[in-house]
Amino acid sequence: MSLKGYISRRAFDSGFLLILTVIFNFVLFRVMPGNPALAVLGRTGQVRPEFRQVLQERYGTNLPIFDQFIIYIQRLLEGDLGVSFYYYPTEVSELIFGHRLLNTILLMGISILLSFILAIIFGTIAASKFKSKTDLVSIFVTLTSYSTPVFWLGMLIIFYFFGQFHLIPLSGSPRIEDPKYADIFAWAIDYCYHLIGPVTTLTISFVGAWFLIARDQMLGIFLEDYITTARAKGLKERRVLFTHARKNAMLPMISVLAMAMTYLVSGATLTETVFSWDGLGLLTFDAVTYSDYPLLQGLFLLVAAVAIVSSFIADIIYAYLDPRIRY
Amino acid sequence: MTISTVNNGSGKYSTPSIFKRYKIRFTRFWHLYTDSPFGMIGMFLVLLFVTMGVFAPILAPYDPNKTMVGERSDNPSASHPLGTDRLGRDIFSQMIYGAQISLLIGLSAAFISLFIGTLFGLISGYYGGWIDIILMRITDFFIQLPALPLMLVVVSLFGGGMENLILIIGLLGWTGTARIVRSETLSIKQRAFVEASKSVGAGNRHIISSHILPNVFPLIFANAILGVVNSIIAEAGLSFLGFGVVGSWSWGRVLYEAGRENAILLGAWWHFIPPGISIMLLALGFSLISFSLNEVLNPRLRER
Amino acid sequence: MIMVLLEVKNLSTHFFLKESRVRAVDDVCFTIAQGKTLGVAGESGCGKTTTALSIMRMLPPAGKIVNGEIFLDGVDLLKKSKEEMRQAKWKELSYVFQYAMNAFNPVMTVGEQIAEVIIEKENSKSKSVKKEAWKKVKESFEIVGLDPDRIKNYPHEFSGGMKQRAIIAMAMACDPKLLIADEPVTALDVIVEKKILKLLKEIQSNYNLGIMFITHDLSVIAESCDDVAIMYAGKMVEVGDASTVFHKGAHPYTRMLIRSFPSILGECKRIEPISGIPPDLANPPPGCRFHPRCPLASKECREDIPPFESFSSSRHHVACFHAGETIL
Ligand SMILES: Nc1ncnc2c1ncn2[C@@H]1O[C@H](COP(=O)(O)OP(=O)(O)OP(=O)(O)O)[C@@H](O)[C@H]1O
Ligand SMILES: [Mg+2]
Repeated sequence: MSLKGYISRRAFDSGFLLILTVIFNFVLFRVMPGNPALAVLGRTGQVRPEFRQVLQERYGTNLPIFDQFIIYIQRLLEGDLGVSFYYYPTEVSELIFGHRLLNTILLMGISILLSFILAIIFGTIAASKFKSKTDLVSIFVTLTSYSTPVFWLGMLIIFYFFGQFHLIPLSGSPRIEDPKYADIFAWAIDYCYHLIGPVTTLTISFVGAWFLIARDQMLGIFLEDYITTARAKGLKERRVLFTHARKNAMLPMISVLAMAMTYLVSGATLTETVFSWDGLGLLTFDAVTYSDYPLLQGLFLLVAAVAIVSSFIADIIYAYLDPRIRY
Repeated sequence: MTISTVNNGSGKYSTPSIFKRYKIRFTRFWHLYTDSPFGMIGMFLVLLFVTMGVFAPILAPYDPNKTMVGERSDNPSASHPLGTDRLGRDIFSQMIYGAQISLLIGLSAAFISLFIGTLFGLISGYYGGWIDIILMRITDFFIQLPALPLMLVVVSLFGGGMENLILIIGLLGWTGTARIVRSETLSIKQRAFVEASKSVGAGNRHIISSHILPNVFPLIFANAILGVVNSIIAEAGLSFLGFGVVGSWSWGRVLYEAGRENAILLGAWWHFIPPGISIMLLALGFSLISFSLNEVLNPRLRER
Repeated sequence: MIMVLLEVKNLSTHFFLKESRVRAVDDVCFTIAQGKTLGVAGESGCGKTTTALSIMRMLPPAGKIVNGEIFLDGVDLLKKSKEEMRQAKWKELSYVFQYAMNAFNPVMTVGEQIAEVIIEKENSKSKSVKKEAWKKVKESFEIVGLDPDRIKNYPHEFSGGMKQRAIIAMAMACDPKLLIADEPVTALDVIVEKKILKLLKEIQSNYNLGIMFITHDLSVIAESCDDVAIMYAGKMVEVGDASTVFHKGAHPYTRMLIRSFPSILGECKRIEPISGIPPDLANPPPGCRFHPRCPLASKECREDIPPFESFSSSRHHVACFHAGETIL
């Protein structure tokens, strides 16, 4: 198959999944028992008349379900994600695509990048010393970090690094609008300072999850004949590991990275909660806590869309890197 | 490879000396497993917490829900080894009972994931074609979705409670198993004895249940145990956010209470360090078991 | 005057497993002359690959060389440091692996993988070295009969026979003195096999290359080797020049092995497979390792290890108490 044919087939698949997701999103929040969109009105106790107004106007909740779906799609195509119940009358899109998205992307981006690099380096070293002490110790350490709940790790980090040693700030995510910052640099420095805690927490946790994958990939590759040949050629061990082996190990790691891309927008609810990091993870938590269904819907749609697009991109990169797939 | 399947006339197929074969296999496996220090440490940890959970009513000095008015927010002492919370409940007893919930939810949710994942993987791998394509696209999609937010959404829609929690964690954790089972099924399907069974007219269901399942089972098993780890951690996360099982004590719930009481800032380490360590050790126990099983059972690793 | 290129003396390589010690190569001696081909034959599992890997010092972790010397051009390879050995690899001796079809990294072009080793051995990354290296890659493609325009192709774009040619081009890239080829043609069909063998012969005569040629297939050895070494259960049983071994083979195993192949010597004989199975190398039988399967076995054979001694000429060695006796 040609690269073009491959891409267009995957594009078709992705489009199909995207449509499914939109339908699923609509159904999950609309047709489920008790119609949550209405149930919320009852649950809060005091029905705010403007809600009912809004629901009927914007979602046509008094119309048959199929008409509701049409309205939903129309709204979606206009970029309208609805209005938040809890932050009424703020629009959902305003809540999502603001400083929270930036906060989450920065936090997750830095953590993912760091962890990815560390996992590959450690995984390669451990695999090249298969069953040595280094290997066993790193397995034990990473299994431990895999088994540690991330929020508890965050609590420990706050307890020690803020509570005992005063190395990091307690929590929060500085906002640039805050008048206490003289200029953008003052804000940037404070921002980075506040990032240390959550980034450390997430990095430890991600490395725990990815190390074994990277190691396993490498081990499989070390059994391959072309690595034996590369060694027989008397190439420097560094070249064997980081050119011959890594190029192949990168392939499956790309799927891991694609998966991590969804974290970029889903955020890390637990870590953001512990560190009061004002990102999309925390927003999700709020939305769930206050049964803010339009907001949840918007968040879910964003995550799903990113998931679909990033796996599409990953497949293309894969095909590009691995000459065998292209044909 | 000899084909040990015979048609005994009633249309059913029986495999002679199947138990003996399994016994030999198991003995060999057990030898390899007990050789691995990781596996033994893991088993020790898990047994430790199982004992703790089973004998919780005996081991716990107090009823974890009993509030003792005169002893609110006490520091650790002889009568309360880990102090009391703000309502005067004994934290040590909550910890002991926590083992029950973590194990119960971890194991049952993992079982559900195992069931769904195996079903998906078997069908996908065995039948192939468009069924495979559709099932695997769905699996890929679920793999990509971040689990916790999804669980939160579902919990908020359907409410908490033990059964719901188990169902939700289980329903969202099957993807890894499905992939592994599928690829194993694919490779076993090609082997000679499956072909041979087909040629003597064995039905699909028979081939799956008597040839493919027993062969993929070892790997499924190692994976299922990793599922327990994931479930334990997921339960802890949900409980920590306050979406746990109301009324019963899990370690996640103890941490939730600790968070509400500002234990970190107050320096009340006895309130949040022990439950965290317990989750970590129990999960580590299962992780180590899963890792060692994989080492012993995974043919690719065994080659070395 | 024959110049010795490789001399292996009393080489013993054992695999140390958890509960046992596999004596895969035990007290093995042989030499390879400059510009000549030594064919090494023997049943599967007799230690051919292990011998070759010992020379390359590329044994798997469980394998240890417990005794012996390996002189390449008068220098003991076993005395070299790891780094010295790394530098010697490919420059002095190169290796074509058993199952070599996967010897190329699928995500790098074939040319890249050949150029890489030339550049590495030059120990410099300057532009001129790189240019020179790529020029050599093209030349080597021409030598092995591949289209030089295909150096930028990926391995999967080559057929099996082309890959094998490319592997030989890679093995010759740094003009080694010795080439170890472990069953280089087993995976190929007969016609391609013949072509590759012919190619190896040509290269050998042009470059004065010593070749250690490992194979199951005695007819391949008969066709293309100057000398023959027959291994059985980790031991060398007979070494000599090809015509001596094939026509005046003295070890009963050699003769039975030859008889088990159809028409190596031209005439069509009845095929006689050797009965019995090779011994477990973790528990080899005492005395001569072949005695349980040997029709000539006597008390002596069951108790003492036969010495590896010269037989009909100084270049013909046999390890057997009954060397040369007729088998009924
Ligand atoms: N990594 C290893 N660990 C343990 N034993 C090994 C290992 N590699 C080889 N052996 C043993 O050493 C002996 C010689 O193996 P070797 O691979 O050298 O045989 P061979 O003559 O090359 O066989 P073939 O013709 O099948 O390639 C065999 O008995 C084998 O079981
Ligand atoms: Mg071999």
